Amino acid sequence: MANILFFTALILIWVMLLYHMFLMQGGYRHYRTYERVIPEWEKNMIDLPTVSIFIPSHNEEVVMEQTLTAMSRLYYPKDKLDIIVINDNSSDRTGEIAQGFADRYPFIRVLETKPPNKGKGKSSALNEALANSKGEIICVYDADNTPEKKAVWYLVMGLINDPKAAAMVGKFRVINAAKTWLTRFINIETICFQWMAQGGRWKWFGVATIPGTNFAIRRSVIEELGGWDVKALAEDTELTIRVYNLGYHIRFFPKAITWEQEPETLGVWWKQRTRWAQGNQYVVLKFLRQFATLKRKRIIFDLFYFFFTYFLFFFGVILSNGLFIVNLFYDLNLAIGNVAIALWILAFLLFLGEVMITLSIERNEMNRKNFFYVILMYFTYSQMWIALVVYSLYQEIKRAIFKEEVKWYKTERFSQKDQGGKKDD
Amino acid sequence: MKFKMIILFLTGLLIISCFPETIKAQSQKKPTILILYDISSPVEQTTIHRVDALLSSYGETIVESRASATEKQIKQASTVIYIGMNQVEIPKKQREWINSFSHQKLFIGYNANQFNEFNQLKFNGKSNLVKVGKQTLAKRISFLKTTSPYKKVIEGQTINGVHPVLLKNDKSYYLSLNQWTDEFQWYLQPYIAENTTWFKPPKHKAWIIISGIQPSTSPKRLKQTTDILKKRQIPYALAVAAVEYTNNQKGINKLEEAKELKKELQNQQAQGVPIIANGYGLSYRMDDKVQHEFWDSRFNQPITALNSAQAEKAYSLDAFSSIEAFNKEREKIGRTEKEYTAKRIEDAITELVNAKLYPIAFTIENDHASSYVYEEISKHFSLFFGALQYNDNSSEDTGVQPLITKPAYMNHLQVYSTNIKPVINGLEGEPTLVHELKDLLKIKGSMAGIKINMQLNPKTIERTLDIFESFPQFEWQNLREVKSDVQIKHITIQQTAKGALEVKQQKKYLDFIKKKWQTSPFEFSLWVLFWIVFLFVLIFFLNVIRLRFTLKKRLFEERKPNG
Repeated sequence: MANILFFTALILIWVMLLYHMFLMQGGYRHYRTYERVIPEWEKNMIDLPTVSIFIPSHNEEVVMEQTLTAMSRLYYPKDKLDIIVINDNSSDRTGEIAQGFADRYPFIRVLETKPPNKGKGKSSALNEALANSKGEIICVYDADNTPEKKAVWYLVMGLINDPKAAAMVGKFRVINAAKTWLTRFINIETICFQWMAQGGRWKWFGVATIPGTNFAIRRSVIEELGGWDVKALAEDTELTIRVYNLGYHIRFFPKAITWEQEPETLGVWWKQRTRWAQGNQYVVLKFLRQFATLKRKRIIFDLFYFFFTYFLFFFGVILSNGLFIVNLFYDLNLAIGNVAIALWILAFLLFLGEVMITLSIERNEMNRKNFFYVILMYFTYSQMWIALVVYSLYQEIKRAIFKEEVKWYKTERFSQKDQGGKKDD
Repeated sequence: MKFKMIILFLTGLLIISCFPETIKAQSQKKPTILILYDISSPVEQTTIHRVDALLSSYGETIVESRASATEKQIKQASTVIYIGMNQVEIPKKQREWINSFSHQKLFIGYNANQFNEFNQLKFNGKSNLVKVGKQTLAKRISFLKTTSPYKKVIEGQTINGVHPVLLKNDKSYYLSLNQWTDEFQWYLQPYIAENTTWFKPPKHKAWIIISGIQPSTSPKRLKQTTDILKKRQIPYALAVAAVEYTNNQKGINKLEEAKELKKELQNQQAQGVPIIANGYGLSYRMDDKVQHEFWDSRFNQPITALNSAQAEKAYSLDAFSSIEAFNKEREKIGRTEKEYTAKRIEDAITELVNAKLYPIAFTIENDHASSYVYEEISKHFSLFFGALQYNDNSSEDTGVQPLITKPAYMNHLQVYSTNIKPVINGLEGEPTLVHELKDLLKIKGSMAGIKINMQLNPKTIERTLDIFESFPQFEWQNLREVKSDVQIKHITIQQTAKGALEVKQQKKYLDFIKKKWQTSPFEFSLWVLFWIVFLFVLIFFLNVIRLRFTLKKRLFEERKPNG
């Protein structure tokens, strides 16, 4: 029995590792080639569509000024731009700061959410803005984001030149990467996620996931879908599946860059990631149940990827760790000898190699300091995810059984003055 | 890329990786002679080994402690032997199992009165036999004095009187011995050969091995010795040590380098003379007066260190608080012995094969080795020539068997005993040889085996052979016609009963891979995965290093506006 469990754990872990090895190569190849289309695409940027930018905000006074300053400098015709700060039940100076910008810039306005959308979370806020805007293209930015000047320009460029794309997804960087060890880990994680999971999947399979910020979607598509799912904690992943089900694809175009703030403390990180993990678990289970009715079976591929990540892979890791601990006290007589240890070491080296190659894509990220951070990350941050996934699964099951209302956890912001990260001028 | 292809590929990958490891069904040999025993000390194990060696000439032996014997084992045996070295109360169930066993049984020592066949046996203490039948014993044997109404088959004498030694009731026997010696065995064995119900004895055979051949051996002298045998048309085998240590094991001469000798041996092999591996280098310590390769004769103990310079005196049984503690320590030493033996065997076969000599069996110069060594030998050789050591902790209990034997304690290694010595001390030695051959003839199916050292005087060899040939009952066994298997990692040597020699020197890696796939496919697959991924990891790291050196240049080339 121990051998069967051990083999199962090995298979689950290594399928995932090999898949990511495969993805990483796709991501790197995408990095080498994605800019080649830009000269040609620029030629089509003549008859520009109107763009509504949604910035859902709840108690964002710490970051709002910086965000709207960046927004005001966006490279896009201002007469075709409608930046909407969706003030969702804020009890701080968010509304006041936003209104200050609205008074100075005619293309910026503040929208106060009203019942039934008031205080119900990001999805509800976005739906409120959808109903109160007219832009042909909708862009969404989180309130802690400071997009680079041409971020929106590139997102719109992608949609103009790729008519089959329902949405264009840009890249996000961590503005406070150098602040704490946690933000360093998150910085590495985000770079890897975007180039491996997004870039790799786009290169090999032509799929990408809407990340919740720095993306543009056609109004016609979002209206056809009926807006955002208010029950989903991970409204971005949920939207992704529905977009694919309509027959469109989502393109990853990392030329559009935004800089966002990441949690600087473990407590904030835990709550945020729990929400993401729980949200993704909800989405996976929701659509797998509807498998038979899904129109586009290729979505299964993506769903299976999430299912494997959030359920099977972590189950394999937990199983493997459990067998290791039991074997310390009681000889399980596992059939496999040294190859298990060899594979364990190799998994670590593979992780290290993959991450370093991915970091090389971003300027100044492949350095000695990050090399040691990656090593440390393997044994700390990556392991924390195991506990987090288990906890989020427990939360999601509890919510489903007791039919609890979805609670939107608001990520705490930190003051960003003079903190790390680089911006494109 | 097409999704269907990807899904099919991944599904296939998943299915392959989930495929359960094939379980090889192993055919089990049916046990024939089941030997059950009760002992109170590891020293008494020697008696068990001796009985095992004796009886394995007649069938396959399974040796089991009586406490762990099962009803199934007893039912499946063709005969049951019980050896009680100490007095114990045998549980009712086990007594019933043995009582209900309907075939021939032999009880030895204590506790026989707990079984139906000998329940009227009474024990009257211990004594020492000085004579058995008409034969005066050179060494007294401890035995149990008994009284009973059973038929006395063999009687023995103490200084005080006559006592029964072997009793019979129906088809079962009781032997009142508390100790076992070669002398007594040779006395008893003819009776066993005559009266067992499951043994069909072959004709008397004899074999000869020329031993002591090492890289410094003169090829001319070798030829001279073997010519004696060829002239008489006596088949023989050559026991060759592949290396010779010099200068207190600091230097080494290899057979590969002794070109003339190598050529002579190859010629002999081509003419049908089998080669036997005589250990690797004949010795554990260079300064031993008598060479022992698998026994530490300085301390009279098993090999305790791979390097003889690091060997220390091991503890005796008295130094341990319990038998279990002693056994644990002995097993630890046993692991060292096995490691040492495995290395020596691998080196021996490799060296011989490099010299294009293909050994079909193994022998140990001067014979001493423990059951751990024998076990390791049995993993690589199916045939062994030499004497048997019965005691794992002392070389004092060594003996020979009159028949070919496959004792369980030697892991069923087929043993051809060297039970005859050549004529030594001139004419004085001749009666001994004659006596030994006559003793052998008393035992049905016995086989005479003799090792003649290369350095022996040709006249001595001639005289030995003259005496041998004066016993026409013995037929010469051509050792080329004995089935044997030899195996190490990448070399397999098989000799068929028809005399054909098949050597497979594996294309190391290809056949190694095939073998690994057959024995454990899942582990093999994981190793393949390991190496493929390792290659990628290596490429990744080389790429990382390359990027690091080129990154500075890239920094200025990156992020050009508008691509």
